[in-house]
Amino acid sequence: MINSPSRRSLALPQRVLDPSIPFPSELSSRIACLAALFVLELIVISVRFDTQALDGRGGLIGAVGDFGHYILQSLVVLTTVFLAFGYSNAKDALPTICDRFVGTPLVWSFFAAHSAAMIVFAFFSAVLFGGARGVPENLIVLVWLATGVLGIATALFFFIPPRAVRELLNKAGSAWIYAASAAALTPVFVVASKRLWEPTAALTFEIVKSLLNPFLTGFVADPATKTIGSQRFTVEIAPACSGLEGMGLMLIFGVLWLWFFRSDYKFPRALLLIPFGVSLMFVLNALRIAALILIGHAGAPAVATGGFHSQAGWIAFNGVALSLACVAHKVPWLSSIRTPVVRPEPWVENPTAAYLVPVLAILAAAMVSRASSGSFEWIYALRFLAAAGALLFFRKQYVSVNWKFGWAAPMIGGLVFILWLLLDRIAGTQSGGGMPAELAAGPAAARVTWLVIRVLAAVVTVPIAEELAFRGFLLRRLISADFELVSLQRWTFLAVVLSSVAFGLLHGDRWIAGSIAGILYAGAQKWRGRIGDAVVAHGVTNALIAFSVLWGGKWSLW
Amino acid sequence: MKLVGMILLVVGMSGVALAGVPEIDPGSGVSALALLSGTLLVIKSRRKK
Repeated sequence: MINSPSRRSLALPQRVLDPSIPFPSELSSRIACLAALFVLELIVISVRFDTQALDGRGGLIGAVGDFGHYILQSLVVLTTVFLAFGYSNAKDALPTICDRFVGTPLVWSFFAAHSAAMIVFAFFSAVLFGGARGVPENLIVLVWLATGVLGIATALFFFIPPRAVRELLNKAGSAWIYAASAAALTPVFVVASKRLWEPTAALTFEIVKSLLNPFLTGFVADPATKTIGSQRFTVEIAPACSGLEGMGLMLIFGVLWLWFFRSDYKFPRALLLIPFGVSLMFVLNALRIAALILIGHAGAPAVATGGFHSQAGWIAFNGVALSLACVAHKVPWLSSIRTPVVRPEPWVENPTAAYLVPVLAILAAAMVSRASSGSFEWIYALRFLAAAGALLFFRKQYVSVNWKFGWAAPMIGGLVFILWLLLDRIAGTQSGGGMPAELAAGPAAARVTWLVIRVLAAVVTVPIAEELAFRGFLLRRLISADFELVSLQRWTFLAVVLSSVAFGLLHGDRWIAGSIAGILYAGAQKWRGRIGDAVVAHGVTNALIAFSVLWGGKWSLW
Repeated sequence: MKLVGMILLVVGMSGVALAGVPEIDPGSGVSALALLSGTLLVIKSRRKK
């Protein structure tokens, strides 16, 4: 196909080799290995030992049981804040540190020390969680904690030499202060927020009551039990449904957004966005409950308590977060960015949009579709139409994408299918189950239409949209901000692992199988530097899964 | 990378905020945060002429 000059200028460049992009790949690979080791060990420990076994125990071991989850929450906050702010502070020094770091051998004596520490840690865990009597518990708890810390330190020094760790910590600067402060405040906020549940739920109850009272016939409201609704449909506003969760999430988002993009806003007035966003979330939660009651009252209780209940909170959060992030930019009173010149086709100049919008359309449509469904997603077609529409919209930008594929692509697709079933069996996931009752009970024409669209989406739109997003965009974006300049054959360990895990996480309980599939699809793309190979591999996997569902009766695979 | 770092923080800290209560379903969290981060990536990466 011969492209016209104007079309060529719109097309996404492919296979531009650019080996010169600097990236601390060796350091990032080692950090990824360290993280993988910690996650693996944490999974084993979490599966083997349950802190509930410590309920009712006294002394230090009782304190571990009582405060263990707070400590874990604080550790998560400490790590994420430190990584984010530390990277921000140290990013300029990273290439220099990495240059000195390249070729440094792994220190196996640290690995031996780590293994020994973890064996001792496991032994004392078994003693403590097993409820052994007649042992000096407090002393064992201290030794147990010390071996845990030793295990963390030795694993760190095994992958990253102590000197490099010291340098990285120095360059991270004030990140420690932010991370430690956030970690220390986390349990305080968690405990305080739980105390606010009751009064906030009472306020939410009053708002919902005033919203519904004028419109609902046969209105029912009992402040004692916080039961509200109509004679046909009522709900109880539990303390946990007070709206604080969404408000907390919005507070986190607002603070981080204004911190990371502080140069885009005028301060202190931009700080008003935080209370505005948090208050809006509270009001929207009351509206969510009112809408839920109206849906139930209108004769769709399954939709109200099913899809709408689980999705409406996220729709509200995403709507408010996007409004804060985008609309505030356009308000001159808040934004320090000069008003951009209006362009006739802004999306055409944005290659990220061409790669991401199809998968975002699927995610948004899925959210709406699930929110409108009870236990069965009848309007699944919305996802297919959204993806097809987005792909059609950006069709000119896909002109130079190499959609060709070779013999290896279907082979890889088949391999992923086999691994998918194998991991399902190992995980003990129930692969049987019949056709959903709602679908089976529906009219034949509706059933056939639903199945045809479901298969078309699985085999055509989903593979194209997801491969463009995860292999075409994210994998390369993790290598360089100018992702278009990165060859489709270029790999870094971190980029492949992170993009594949992100892909895997979208597959819920099957995230491990999804992550492995992501790595194999990335391999298909790398083989000849064509996204078409990844798309076909993905399409073949989904087609085989569809075959297993329709002919093998393994409906749980969908 | 600024946006990626921010999203990492939001995801990490939402693990604390989402304490298993039904107001915001943790089961739908990954899809919802992926949608939010992807949309922000698209908007922030708009190319200027």
